[in-house]
Amino acid sequence: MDRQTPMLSQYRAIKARFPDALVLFRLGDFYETFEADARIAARELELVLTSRSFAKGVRLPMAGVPHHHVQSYIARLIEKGYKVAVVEQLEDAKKVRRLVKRDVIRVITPGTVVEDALLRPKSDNYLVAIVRSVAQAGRRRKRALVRESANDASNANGLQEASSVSMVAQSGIRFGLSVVDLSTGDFATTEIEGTDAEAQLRDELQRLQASEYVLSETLAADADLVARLQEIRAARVSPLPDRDCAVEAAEGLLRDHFHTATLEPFGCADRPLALAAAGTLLAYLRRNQAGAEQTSALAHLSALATYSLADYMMLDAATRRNLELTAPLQGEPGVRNGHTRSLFGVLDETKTAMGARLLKRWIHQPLLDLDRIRARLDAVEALAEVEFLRQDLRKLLDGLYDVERLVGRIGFGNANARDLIGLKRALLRLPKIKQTLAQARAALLRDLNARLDPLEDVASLIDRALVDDPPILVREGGLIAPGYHTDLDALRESASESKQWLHALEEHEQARTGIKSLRVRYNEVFGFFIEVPRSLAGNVPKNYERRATISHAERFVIPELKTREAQILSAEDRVKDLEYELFVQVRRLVAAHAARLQTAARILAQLDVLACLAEIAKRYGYVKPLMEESDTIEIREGRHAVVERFMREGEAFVPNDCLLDGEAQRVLILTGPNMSGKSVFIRQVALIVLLAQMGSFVPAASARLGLTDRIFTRAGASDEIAQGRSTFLVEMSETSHILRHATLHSLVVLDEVGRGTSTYDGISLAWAIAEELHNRVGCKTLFATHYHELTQLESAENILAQGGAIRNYTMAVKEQGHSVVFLRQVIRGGAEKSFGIHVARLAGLPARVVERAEAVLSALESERARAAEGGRGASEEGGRPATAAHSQERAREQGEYALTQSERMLANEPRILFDSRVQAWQAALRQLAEIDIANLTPVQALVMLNDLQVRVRAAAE
Amino acid sequence: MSQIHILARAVAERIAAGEVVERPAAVVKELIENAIDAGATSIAVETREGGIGLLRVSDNGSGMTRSDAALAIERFATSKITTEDDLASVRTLGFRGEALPSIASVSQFELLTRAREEIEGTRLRLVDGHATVEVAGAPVGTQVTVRGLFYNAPARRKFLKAPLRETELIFKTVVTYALACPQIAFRLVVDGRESIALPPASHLERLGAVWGRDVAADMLEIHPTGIELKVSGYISRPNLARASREWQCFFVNGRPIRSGLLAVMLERPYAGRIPPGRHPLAVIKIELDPRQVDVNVHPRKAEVRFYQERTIYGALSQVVEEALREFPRIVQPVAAEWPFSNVAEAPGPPPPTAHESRDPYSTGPWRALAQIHNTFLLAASPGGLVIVDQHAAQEQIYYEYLTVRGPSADHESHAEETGRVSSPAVIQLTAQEAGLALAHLDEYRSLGIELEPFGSNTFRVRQLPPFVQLSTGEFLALMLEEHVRHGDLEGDLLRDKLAARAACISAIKAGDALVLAQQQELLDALQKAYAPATCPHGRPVYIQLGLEELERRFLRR
Repeated sequence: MDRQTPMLSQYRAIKARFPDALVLFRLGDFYETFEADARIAARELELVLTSRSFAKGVRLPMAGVPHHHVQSYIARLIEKGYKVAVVEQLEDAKKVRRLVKRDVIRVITPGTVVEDALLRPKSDNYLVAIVRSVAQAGRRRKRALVRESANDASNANGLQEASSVSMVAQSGIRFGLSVVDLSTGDFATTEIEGTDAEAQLRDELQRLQASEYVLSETLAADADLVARLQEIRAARVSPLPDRDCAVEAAEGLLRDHFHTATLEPFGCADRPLALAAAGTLLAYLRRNQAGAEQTSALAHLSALATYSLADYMMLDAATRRNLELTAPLQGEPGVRNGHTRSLFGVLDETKTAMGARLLKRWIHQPLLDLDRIRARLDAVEALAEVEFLRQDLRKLLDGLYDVERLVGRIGFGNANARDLIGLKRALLRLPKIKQTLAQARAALLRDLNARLDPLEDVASLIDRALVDDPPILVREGGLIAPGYHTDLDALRESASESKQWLHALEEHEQARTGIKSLRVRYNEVFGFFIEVPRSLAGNVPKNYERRATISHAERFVIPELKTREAQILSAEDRVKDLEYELFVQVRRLVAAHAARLQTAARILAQLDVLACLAEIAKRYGYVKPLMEESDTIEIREGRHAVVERFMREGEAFVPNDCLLDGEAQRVLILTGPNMSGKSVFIRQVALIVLLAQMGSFVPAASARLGLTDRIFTRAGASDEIAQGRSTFLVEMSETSHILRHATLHSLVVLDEVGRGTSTYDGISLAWAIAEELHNRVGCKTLFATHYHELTQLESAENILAQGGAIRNYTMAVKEQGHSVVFLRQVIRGGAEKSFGIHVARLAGLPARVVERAEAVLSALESERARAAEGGRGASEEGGRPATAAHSQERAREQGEYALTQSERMLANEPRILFDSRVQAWQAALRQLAEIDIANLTPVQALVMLNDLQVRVRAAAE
Repeated sequence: MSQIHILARAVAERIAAGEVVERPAAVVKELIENAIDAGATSIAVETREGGIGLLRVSDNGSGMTRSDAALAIERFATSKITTEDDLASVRTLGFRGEALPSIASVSQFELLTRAREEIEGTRLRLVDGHATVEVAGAPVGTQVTVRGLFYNAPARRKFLKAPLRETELIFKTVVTYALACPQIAFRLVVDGRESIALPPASHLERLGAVWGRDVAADMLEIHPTGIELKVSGYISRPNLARASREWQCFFVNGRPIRSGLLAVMLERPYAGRIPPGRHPLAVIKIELDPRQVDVNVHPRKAEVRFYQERTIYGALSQVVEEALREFPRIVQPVAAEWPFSNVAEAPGPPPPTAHESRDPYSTGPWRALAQIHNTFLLAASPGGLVIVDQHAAQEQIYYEYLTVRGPSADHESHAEETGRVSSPAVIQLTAQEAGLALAHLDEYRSLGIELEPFGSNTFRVRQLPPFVQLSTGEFLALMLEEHVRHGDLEGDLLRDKLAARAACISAIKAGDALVLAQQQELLDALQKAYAPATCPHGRPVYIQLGLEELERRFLRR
């Protein structure tokens, strides 16, 4: 019953090749979708679902879009994560009587877009492949892996095994991660290992914000892993057969692609997972190619960069979010004067899209190499100092074509003639850029200039071959410049000769017929014809053949005219064909220089970013930080790069100093009421460190900075609440991450840690965390809290015993009657009050509520004083008055308005909890940890055990 | 019955304030000067509604303590001088102690400041004479906010110009100080939009930032001489000059001043190096012992008096002359010497004697006398002598023919010429050109250019304006080039551009020799023109030397 018409079987055959793609099938002026695809397209694109009859009784659901709008519809489908296959008519429907030949010319997925219209100019568009291995213990791990994969290529041999392993819970897992931006040809791969491999992977994926993931079928079936990927960004997950993801397949594929015998030059030969991931990507890309034009499509992936996460300052997802690197925190006003509220938003004065993308990458990847940082800073300085050098350079870069992405389009064969002209115009600026840069004295600028290939040959090739203002369509002629190709010139000449003949025909026929008003004319419908006024139409010779009659004239043709016209038309057709052929040839010639173009594009991007940073430095008064080999952070009059630009009208940012010397002053406990500017201060220090290490000047009067290997932040309420994890749980898991991974050279920024639980729990945790950071980790720490109790840490015995590098600072506040004035200055000392109720009044809480709160506060205070007199036992063992405890907790949790502290009450706080007992327990635990059991006799062991028990018991009493 | 009485203090102050603070730009001037005196390295000015809604000047200078801030709004309170003797040696820009109280008396005034050594800042509000002082968080420096300027001085307000104009004056004020102090960063925000952002820079860089990179490239540094009197700055090369003195700035000890005499002294060395009526650009800084200059002669301190004028003027002319030495004088700056030495001998009847037609306004026919340098035509007119730019003249004639008179209107005189088309009559255009031409066939037709589609991207040219000398291909290539440049125009705007282009490329060029008959023909046609004085590009077509002028120059009058 299912009779298939030729067209239907043509469609079905194509669809069968791309079962997971939406097939857009060109039918005349429309791209149609059928059957299941039509239902999806109708739903996602809000199209009318109709149906089409293919034969009697065969009606299929259909939804279509007009061909000239197809790009925007494809963009919407891609945005929603669909894979789209575009089927074109490969023949002119007018010229064939049978069914037109059709085939897929392009398969587009979110991660493989190269079309300009489908890309955001200032964002990278990444396709990411991940492979995973649960490695055996031991040093020979890598060898074992390689051998295994060689033995059993088809079974992915443990690389993708262990699908039950979740990303958070396990250690001993290693990952290979490869990333490509097909639009620019950036292709890189890395291997991630170590105890926190999963966390590192998540951080890296968080940075990349991939549009699409490629996973082996096994990995893609791991629901937990896929869910975690979707948490980072809802992106398409494309599975690939396991055998394509294996190391051996990868090696062969990569060698074949790069035409090399060995992968040594790419630095990943001994990193099987990095190799496997890169191979996975390449296999996926090849699989997605369709159509003959794309055989060389991946040529612009001319190199594979192997990188290591350890090359860059590690920033976890929470830190990127808290520091508002590229996106504003939720609930903050997003945009001002066209700048997004983020570090990228306030720094982005780049002149090109390439520069904007690179700036983003630099922000996300601060450097750890002092020489590289200094080189960038020197370059920024050179451009900042010489006003005219910077201005001239920026003017030359302004509006420069996105050469980087153009290379991708040229590689994919969908660059048009205007793209090439855009490229030429960009290239023509290169000599001037080189000339301008010649004045610069910074080493990095000199080096970039030396490596900047002026590409004159490519520019002159395009210049010779193409006219300056070509049409967008590449098959309609008018592209190739005269003088480029002799055959083409000859063809054009002959067409033009025929036209001259037709022109002369007019006079000839006028003379022959004696009709002075006879005209030879042309229009789109008839082509060439002879027009004679109606009144004289009777006088025409016999060989005049009447074609049409209009109101005042008759139109004729004669055989010679038609012959000549046919010659013209065929010559014009041949011209068009030849022009297209020549254009494709030129495009291929240019594509052969892809690697050179990419290098130039990357240098231009760097120049753009350096000039942008110099511009920002000059415009907003940033200074060059002094970078040194130490653990110092010394900032004079530092400012918050983002906040200072988003001040309300009439408000001015108050700068603050910050000193962390790595020795005597390592941990700052910053107290002060809400809204007083604690969070801004601690973040501004982190931002200044980050800016300096990405090579930027910093918003301060001066800064002296040692290298920081990681910045950790734990700040504010997290938006993960939406994902069903409690704030407190998130807070603690992030904090434990910090405690485990921070080093001596890290900067840890903690904002209100412990606020997610009850007051005593919170204080206790905050206390213990601060102690741990000071005594064990020794990192630079900024700890903002409204628990004044923590100010006692500065003089706590166990802290002093460990060097006593904790210092108390507070946000200066002036009380004026019922009101409170924030002076926004960080001064030495601890806060006396929280001013919670003052702040509530400032925030506009109804007077009634504020008054009631004051009453409750004083009641609580007296109750607390009584409880304190009754001894600590009552408050600790749950014997405290239930109402007081509850209302107190509630008061804190709701508004977090801390209570006024009197000296007496401070004295009666259960201080012992924070001092001797914990100290004793910790000492015991430390001792326990240090025991070398292998070298202990049983008697010694017993003695030690006894000793420990005595100490723990003593402390408990 | 009115009696004479002493004005209430508030009223008196308001009147006096008008002296200093006549308009928003004056407020900006006073506040910027205060900021500079406070040692600021960064000054930001913000204005709304031409400065009437809001004016705010923020600096990062030394700031004030609370007690100083309270004093600052008292009249005649200043930190800058104490005794009368100090007045003689004022080095700061302000000194009278009038600015803040004057401004405060005619506005809603707010001062936010913090001195470097203090933690607490001060916010001082003054509205209708009531001052409130409170603690505030603030960065080191001073920020003055002035709202509702002249809200209580309606008469003053009435004399203000439109906000746009007041904004322009504020803009100029900021630019002036920016030129005076390139080491200070300046920022101006107008109605929420940043209109000036100048980072600290060198003198030349600042000049480039304000007047443009190209101008900066054409500026010469003048090298200061002397120790007690130092004249420094930048002047334009003779190839760069403007029609007004707007681009001349003089600073005496950092204070911008106006002085016609300084301008004259600056321009004297330019005589003969730039055309008369043009003025060089300059930023001149004069530094001298403050006792040698009296700054207290003008309420807004815009003028000064030098005690040794001659020395200063002499020094200025000297350093400028020094800097210009490498540029030779083209003509001597004496009126008697006109470059008519190589006038071609013109045959023909003798010119009318001077007294025959003394009326400078009479507009009789012009009689061709000669062509000089194959570029200009000399003609005797009833009023005197006319010098005509031959290219501009014919350009204007053709332009009027195409636009005003219309090719159709002039059919008779050129009847035999219409339809004249030199080969090749079939032209091939690029796709873009063809698209434009096809869409605007009517505009072309109205200019006497008859195009007919003749196959893809091909046109047959049936008619061209009669005066076209170029080949059809060349002519249309140039026309289409112009059309592409103005691809977004249509209708009359497009016609105008195309007509000007057609006229320009068809007219005789400078360097084309004309015989006397041709010269006369051109002059006759020009006199028939509707607007003979300017060419389509706005340049003059001829200049007239009236008899009176000639007589004056020859000292006959």
